[in-house]
Amino acid sequence: MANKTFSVAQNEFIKHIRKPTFWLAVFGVPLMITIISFVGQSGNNSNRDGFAVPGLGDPTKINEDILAGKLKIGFVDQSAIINGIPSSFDPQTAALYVQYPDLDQGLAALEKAEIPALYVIPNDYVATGKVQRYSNQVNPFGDSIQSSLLELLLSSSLYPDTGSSYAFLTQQPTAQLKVEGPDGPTSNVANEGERMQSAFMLGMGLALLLYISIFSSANLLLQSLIEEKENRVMEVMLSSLRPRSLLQGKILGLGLLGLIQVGIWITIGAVVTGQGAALSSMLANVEIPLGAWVLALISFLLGYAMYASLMAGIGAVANTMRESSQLTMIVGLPIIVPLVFLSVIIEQPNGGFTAALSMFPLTAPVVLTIRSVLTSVPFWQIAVSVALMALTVIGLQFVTARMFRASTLLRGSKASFGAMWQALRQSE
Amino acid sequence: MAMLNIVDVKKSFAGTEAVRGVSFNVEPGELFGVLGPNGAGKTTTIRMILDILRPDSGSIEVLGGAMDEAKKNRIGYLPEERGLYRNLKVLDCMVYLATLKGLERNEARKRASDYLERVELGHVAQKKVSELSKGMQQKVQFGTTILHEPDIVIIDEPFEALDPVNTRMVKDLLFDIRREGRAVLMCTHQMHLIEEMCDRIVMFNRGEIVLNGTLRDVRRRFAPNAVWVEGHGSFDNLPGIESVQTENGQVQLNLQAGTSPQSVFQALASRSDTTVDRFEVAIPSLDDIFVRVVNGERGQ
Repeated sequence: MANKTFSVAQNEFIKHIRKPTFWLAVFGVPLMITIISFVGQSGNNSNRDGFAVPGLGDPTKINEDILAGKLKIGFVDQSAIINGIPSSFDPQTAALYVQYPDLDQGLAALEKAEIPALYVIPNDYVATGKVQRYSNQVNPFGDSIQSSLLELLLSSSLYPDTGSSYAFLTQQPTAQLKVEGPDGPTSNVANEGERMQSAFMLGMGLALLLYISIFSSANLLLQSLIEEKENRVMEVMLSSLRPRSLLQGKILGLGLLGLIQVGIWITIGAVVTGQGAALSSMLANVEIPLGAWVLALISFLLGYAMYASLMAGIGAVANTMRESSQLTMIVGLPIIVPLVFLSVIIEQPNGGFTAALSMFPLTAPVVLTIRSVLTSVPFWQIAVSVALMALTVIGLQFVTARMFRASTLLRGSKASFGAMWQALRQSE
Repeated sequence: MAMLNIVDVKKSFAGTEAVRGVSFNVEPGELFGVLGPNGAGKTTTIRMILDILRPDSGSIEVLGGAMDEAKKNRIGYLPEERGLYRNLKVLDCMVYLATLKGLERNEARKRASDYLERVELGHVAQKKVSELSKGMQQKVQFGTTILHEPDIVIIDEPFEALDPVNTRMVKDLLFDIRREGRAVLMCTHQMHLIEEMCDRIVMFNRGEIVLNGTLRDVRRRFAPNAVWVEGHGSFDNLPGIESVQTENGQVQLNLQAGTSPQSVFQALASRSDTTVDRFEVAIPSLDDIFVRVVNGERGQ
């Protein structure tokens, strides 16, 4: 039966990749986004003011944070590189830095919440490029800004001749920091800020990748199924192979097509926006355990199989794309849930709520990935989560296969959850 | 060994019995007709044979046992409505559907090309299915049904949209299949084709089989004890005749019990004032039988 599944996958892949509409979507969507963003940027540039830090977020927001003292950073310089705040810094920037003579005083200030983070520049900084960061707060973007500000100070101190040129920073990778926790990169608190940021980016990235893959593939899957129902090919197919083989073949072929589509979008996006290097640099700066990557891959594959099966179930009862669109939106909602609760997940990666979300199959792919980057997830929770996702995939494929059988009876009935339930009962 | 053996199969949908205790079998080398009005349960029964739907009770044996994946490769199915990818090229579509029946891609391509040449569609192999006429699509669909040389061919309205020449072409293909000892189960509303082609028939009505047997047996069961005569002169006062009916110049002589058509023919031949142009034992057409069965008759 594997041959038949492969035949279905191959046919779906070739059939759609030959369609001009597929390539129109592949290149048309990024082109449209690029045009819109360029138009938007040219409109916004004239209104910008405030403190601008290259490569960072919205300057207005950063300015507000600075004024509120949220970005103030403390540091202890054990390497004796920094001889005061360079005179080239404007007073507003200079006021952000608070130097402490030793670690104890720095930690005391941190404890009293006088500063949100303390950086320790060790003796061997010049050789290793590593600094240690202490913080009681979780703020992925804020941490990144603080690190950038320290980077700016260190670069200006290391290369005083160039002044505090921001352009210089971008040309001197040796001045980039490797931020570590007090116990080095392997401890639980290691790379805290960067790790948070990576978890955020990885979680967000995975959720978006999952969402885009699912919906671009699901769109093709729905088109394919609706076409087959309309043409009665479905009935011929079901007389040739098991509904589950048909489903798996479609998911495989269209999933691959969806990944290619998303891959091209990401590549175009990275090239056009110039963020590719920044992203890879950020990921390179932080050591994400291999296990987390493996878990992310497993979660993505199981997540895709789960949602694609759900979409196929909708395709089995829907008669038109329009009819299916409402149902696909509802079914896709759980992917968004982790993004809504992202701050809770990041702040309490081992909390009860987060653990529950990581074990609920429809939210698990994203939440489990974020947790595995942030913290050491108990093995039993990983096992339960993966097992539940796998069981859900099997269950959904069983149910969807039954819907395929029933779909031959349901032509003409409007797509709804009621119709899906009826389809299930009739296929008994 | 029967190609198909269906025993007391039942299927309900939402409390409505679509198929009610259906039993029949199809033998090798047989062209088997399935008749019945719309909604009688024919398609549901076919879907159960094909394992698209599962029966509530009863048993379906295909090629000597329960249906499995390997056996699906030994069945060809042509649904009532066309089941082709409209946007695929004809040859690609045929090859793909044949690979799902276990054929290697190259072999499928060769057989599909040969078939298209045989049915005079070689020139459309690279055209999209949607560009073909209905009749051409029907021939392509038929090709996908038999390309893998199935042991059982199940076809629903195979002659729809075909002109007489193409109908003859498809009929010949079906006769070839029968000659090779394979079996054909054919559903159609075209009674004359059933009469012309089928060895045995079943007729469905309201979910059950109301007729089952050879065509000859079925027609005899519905035959009135009568003869049809056309000619000139009087057909009254013949011995052994119960009544005389005349319609469109054709006279039906209804015989008394124990009277044979032969004795009536002899009586007519001995009359000098009557000429006979046509004399035929009254055997109803399948069309008549169909209407009568649908109206509740079961025959004698």
